[in-house]
Amino acid sequence: MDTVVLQMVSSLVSASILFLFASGLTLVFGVTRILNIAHGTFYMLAGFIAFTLTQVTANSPFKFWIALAAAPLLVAALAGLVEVLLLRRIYGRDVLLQVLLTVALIFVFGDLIRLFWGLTQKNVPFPVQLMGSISLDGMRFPIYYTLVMGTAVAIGLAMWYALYMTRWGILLRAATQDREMTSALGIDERRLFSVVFVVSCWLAGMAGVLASPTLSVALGMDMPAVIEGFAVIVVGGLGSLPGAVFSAVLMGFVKGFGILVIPQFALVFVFALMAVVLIIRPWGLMGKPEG
Amino acid sequence: MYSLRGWNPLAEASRRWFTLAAGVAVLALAVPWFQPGPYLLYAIDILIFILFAVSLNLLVGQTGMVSFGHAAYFAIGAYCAGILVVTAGWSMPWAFLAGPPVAAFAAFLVGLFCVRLTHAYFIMLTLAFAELIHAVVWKWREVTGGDDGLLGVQTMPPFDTPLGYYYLTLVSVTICLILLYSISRSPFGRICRAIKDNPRRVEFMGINVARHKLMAFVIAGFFAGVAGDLFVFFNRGAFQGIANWLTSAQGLVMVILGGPNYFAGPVVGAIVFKLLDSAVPKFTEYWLLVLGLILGATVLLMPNGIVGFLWGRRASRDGHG
Repeated sequence: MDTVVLQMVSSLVSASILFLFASGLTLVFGVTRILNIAHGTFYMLAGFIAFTLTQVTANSPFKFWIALAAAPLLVAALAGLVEVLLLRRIYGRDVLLQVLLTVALIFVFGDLIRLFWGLTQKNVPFPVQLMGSISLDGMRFPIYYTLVMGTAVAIGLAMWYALYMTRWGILLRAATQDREMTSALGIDERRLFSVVFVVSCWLAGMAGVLASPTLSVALGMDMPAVIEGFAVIVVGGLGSLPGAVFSAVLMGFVKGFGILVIPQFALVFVFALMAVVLIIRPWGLMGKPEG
Repeated sequence: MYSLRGWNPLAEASRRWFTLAAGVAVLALAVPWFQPGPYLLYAIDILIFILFAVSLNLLVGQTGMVSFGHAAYFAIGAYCAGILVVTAGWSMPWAFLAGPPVAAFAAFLVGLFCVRLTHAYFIMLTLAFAELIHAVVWKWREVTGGDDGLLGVQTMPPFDTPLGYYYLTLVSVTICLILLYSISRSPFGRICRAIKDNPRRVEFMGINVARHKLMAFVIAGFFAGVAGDLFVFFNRGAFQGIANWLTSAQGLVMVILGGPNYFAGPVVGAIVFKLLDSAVPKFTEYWLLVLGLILGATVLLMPNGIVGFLWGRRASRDGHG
């Protein structure tokens, strides 16, 4: 019983991170049709920036909060630069070119991170205000977990509001459905694409900073994250936000409880789920079939 | 479905290409006399990755399937042959023959899931399955040696010297390239190209698109398995890194560098990539940074690759030339 509660909580925490990460991936794909394999690199970069920020402000009791506020914004600013200078040139081009441009970003940023931060693992401290633990059904959990879950829920609600209740959200959903029509109606596609890409990378940054105290920030953490993110959006349905929520929770639980069965191969369950979904509904649980 | 009668791949290859190929062949045969020693080992490595890149381009350039997991079939070919020698005690020729079919079978299983999917899904799924295979290679220590690698893959005379192995590689790769060229020029290859341009129209013509894509995927997996096979006996072992996404990405880099629309593209791409790979680290430890910049520049400025850049000036593009 104890392990079940323990795994449920840790599943929800990993679901929160997965959701923040995958929702950005799916948003960008839905609107720009670009599969951003470098999404994990922005996630990783945010972790390293958060580490440096907590080092610089080591004496402040709010050092984690500073990092949480600033690191995703810095990553988002960088993403804006990347979008305007590079990605903009390849919208609507051959998929091979789009993929390889994001791979080029992985190579360049990966090596720049190595140049600035080196190969050693970096540890980001928990925020001092949330140091303690709470007990639930006799098990103890770091209070910090509530911050991760709370942030994911808050951002999820904010995204829902923005997408379904604002004019900007209507435009964005229209662009997801039919890009040519939206631009024919005089909507500035380029600005929309830039905003979506920046927001998406900000989300990757949030996921990176929130995850950083629970794991060591290190080079090479980007690809596993991207692959899990792919699994989430494949199961949820490409471009679907509700799908990303549902699928992130599902994947979180599959991962959390998979570890109990085969500790080494929790990934296998993630893939098994993905394979089953692809056989039954190739367009994802909440996506729409193409064409 | 379609007839093979009247099809003669050699007649389709223009005389110019044939002369060029013959020239390269003579040069390749003569390499050991010019450059014995370490350069011979370089040449073997380059030949292996030429085959890897050309097999990948059967999917990418010809059929329009951007596979981001080609390293998996390379690694399966390598590990299968290696394990048969080390653990099961097979001799080299039999293990060598066993590798590619196993890689092709793995490609068949993965292909069943992937070939019906559109671009983005296909990329994600091929990458995901390749990472799954990488995880198995990495974590299943008892069989694959895990992080330590698979060691002690013995070759046999006359292939145990660099010179002997060079000729084995040269002959194997040449045969495979001729086969791949014939496939790309066959009616099957033409259907693949049509699928790349307009899959729906091909479907309307009564051709089973998914089946052709699956066949292309299996064939590409088979030849990647041959490359892995050659790799494992060349290095006398295998390590988990070859199944990594980076190996798959390198294959794609070779394809774009040379030019995905030309049969010779990935050949040139593999040679250029391997030369850079051995030269750049002598000047800087940030090889990936340099590679990323080269890759970005190629994508933005020269999307038809080196061959496309040189060839495109002389002749209008006619697909695989």
